[in-house]
Amino acid sequence: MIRVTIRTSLYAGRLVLRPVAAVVGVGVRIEREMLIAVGDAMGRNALSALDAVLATHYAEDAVDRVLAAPLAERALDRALSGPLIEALARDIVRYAVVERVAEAVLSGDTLDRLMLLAFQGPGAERIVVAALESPAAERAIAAALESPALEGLVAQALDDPGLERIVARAVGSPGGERILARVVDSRLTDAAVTRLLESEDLWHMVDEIAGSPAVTEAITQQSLGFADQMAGEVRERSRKVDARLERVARHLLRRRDRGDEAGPTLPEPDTT
Amino acid sequence: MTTTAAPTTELAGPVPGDQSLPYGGFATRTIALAIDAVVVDGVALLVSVSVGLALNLLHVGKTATVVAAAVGGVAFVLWLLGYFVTFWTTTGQTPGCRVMGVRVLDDRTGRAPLRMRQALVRIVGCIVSTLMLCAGFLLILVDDRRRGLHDRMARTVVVYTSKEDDPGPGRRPAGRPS
Repeated sequence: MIRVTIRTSLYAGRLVLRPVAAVVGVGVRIEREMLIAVGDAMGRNALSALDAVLATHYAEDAVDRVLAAPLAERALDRALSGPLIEALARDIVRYAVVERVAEAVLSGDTLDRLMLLAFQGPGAERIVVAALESPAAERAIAAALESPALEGLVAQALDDPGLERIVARAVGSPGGERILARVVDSRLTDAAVTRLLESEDLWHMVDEIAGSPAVTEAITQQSLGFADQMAGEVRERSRKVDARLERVARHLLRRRDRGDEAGPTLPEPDTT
Repeated sequence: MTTTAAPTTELAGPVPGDQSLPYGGFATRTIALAIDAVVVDGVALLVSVSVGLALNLLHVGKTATVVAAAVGGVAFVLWLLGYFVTFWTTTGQTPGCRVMGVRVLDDRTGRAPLRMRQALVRIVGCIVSTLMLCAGFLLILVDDRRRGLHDRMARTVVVYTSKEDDPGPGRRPAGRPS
């Protein structure tokens, strides 16, 4: 009797608690969905705000100022003169960072988008020119070029077969071709080529190369080679004509052909 | 008519009377002679025009002009003889022969270059062949060793040269002194 009473009570309790548990579950789901929706909305708004900020001229001014600031110069000097470069180079090589990044970039269209943004954006050219013309950049590049760490890094990278694979893949891929086409078509390239063509040093260098003994000798050798080839062809044909004329003459005079008609082996005319 | 500048000892020639050698034929030798004629006449023309212009500027008399013409004629003959004799007795090849890949050899020794006397006789033979309406040259077509009248007179033969015999620019036969 007691057992029956307990079972009945438990059953009745379960029946009563079911609606309560259902209400609690609905409340938890609603809370979770609201959190997701609010987070998504906040993320979108943040990205829109970032886009708006980047689209203003303040962003470019900010970049210009940062690049022109002595602080950036000092920071770069310290970074380049410190052990950071060596450590970075070691880690890059150890963890095959370049190879992995290149694989990831080349496998998607990320690089395409980045290049498109870089070369078609109105501020890109100004930023690059400002960066290149700043004294800080000049000093930084000079310091980097004189750094033994960079030399070691370059040598190590060039010896790495992974780099060769990456370059081969990049050059042979359709993405590489598209990027190259965009680079060539970009205003930056036009400006660079125009500046290069206006440079007196370029034409001085061209004059030096054109007048160098190696180039002169190569042209002479090519001309001689062509003349030799022509002479060789004339020799070859004239020897055939020799034999033909002789056959005709002997036929007219009813003389037998020379013993060498079938041929003595003629020396091969120099057709090279 | 011949080419390559190689020493006598290196120009291994034919065994005298050897009919199996690659003797130079009529067309090749005619073209070689034509090239030589262009060289000889071109130089002569250049010199004569230069001298003529100079004499014209100096307003020399008629007698002097006649004398100059006579001297010019003699100079041309000397130039012609000197051209062929020099090449035949040094390299065995004139520039025309060099271009066409043939060389003049002494028939008795089978080697180049020719002796001075041989070269002179060969030139005389060429003149005689020409005077006979070029019949002397036509002998090349029917002779077993492709010899013309001038070849028979001078005892020479003309053979094709090979790549090894013709050192090109920058190439030099082995052992040749620089």
